[in-house]
Amino acid sequence: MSFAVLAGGIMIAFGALGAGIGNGLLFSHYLDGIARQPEAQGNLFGQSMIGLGLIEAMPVISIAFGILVLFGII
Amino acid sequence: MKQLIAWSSRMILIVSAIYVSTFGLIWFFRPARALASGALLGGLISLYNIFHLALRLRIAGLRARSGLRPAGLHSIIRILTVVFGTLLVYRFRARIDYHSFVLSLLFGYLLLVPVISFYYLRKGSTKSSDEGRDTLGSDSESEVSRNDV
Repeated sequence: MSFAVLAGGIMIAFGALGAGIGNGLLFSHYLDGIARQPEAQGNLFGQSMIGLGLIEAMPVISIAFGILVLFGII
Repeated sequence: MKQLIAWSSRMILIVSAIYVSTFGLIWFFRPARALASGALLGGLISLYNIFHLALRLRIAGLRARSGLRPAGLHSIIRILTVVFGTLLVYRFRARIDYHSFVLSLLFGYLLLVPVISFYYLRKGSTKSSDEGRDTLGSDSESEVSRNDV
């Protein structure tokens, strides 16, 4: 097994792992907040959207780079 | 929340129309076709991803609010669109530049931050002028209480 395959696999796996944990924490707190105070949904939506967007940008980039490394383009 | 969604989606659509037309013109006039097609593909995938994320988040919030079982965020769909784009880049390596593709995948996610922050800043400045009206309202209430006395 070449190091490129290993590097690509690690990039994809750890990117997805970190984003999964981050997304889960943020989303559960978002649902918690709405369940406690339904009228705050508007404020929570915008803030959660920024947070989720920034969290998701990381695995997207790591998956794209990881696949390109796996296929030997980079 | 409806105002936030309407305003931010309008802003994102305007910015993305400018983005797509710019890279479309670059692609059409052939100065850097591979670069433009990579940027177009990555930008459109990231725009799809943020609209899908907003839709799923809204659905989950509405379901939680009405007491139903909360729906998930369906992240696998967004990940699969990125995988699909990357496979397209791999298949048409000569026609799509992978540098511009990967860099433009960040476009939609980074666009969210200024758009939503600008909305809250705008809302905050509008709120401060409304607070003045509230103060006027309380004065009239004091007049009412004076009449009562």
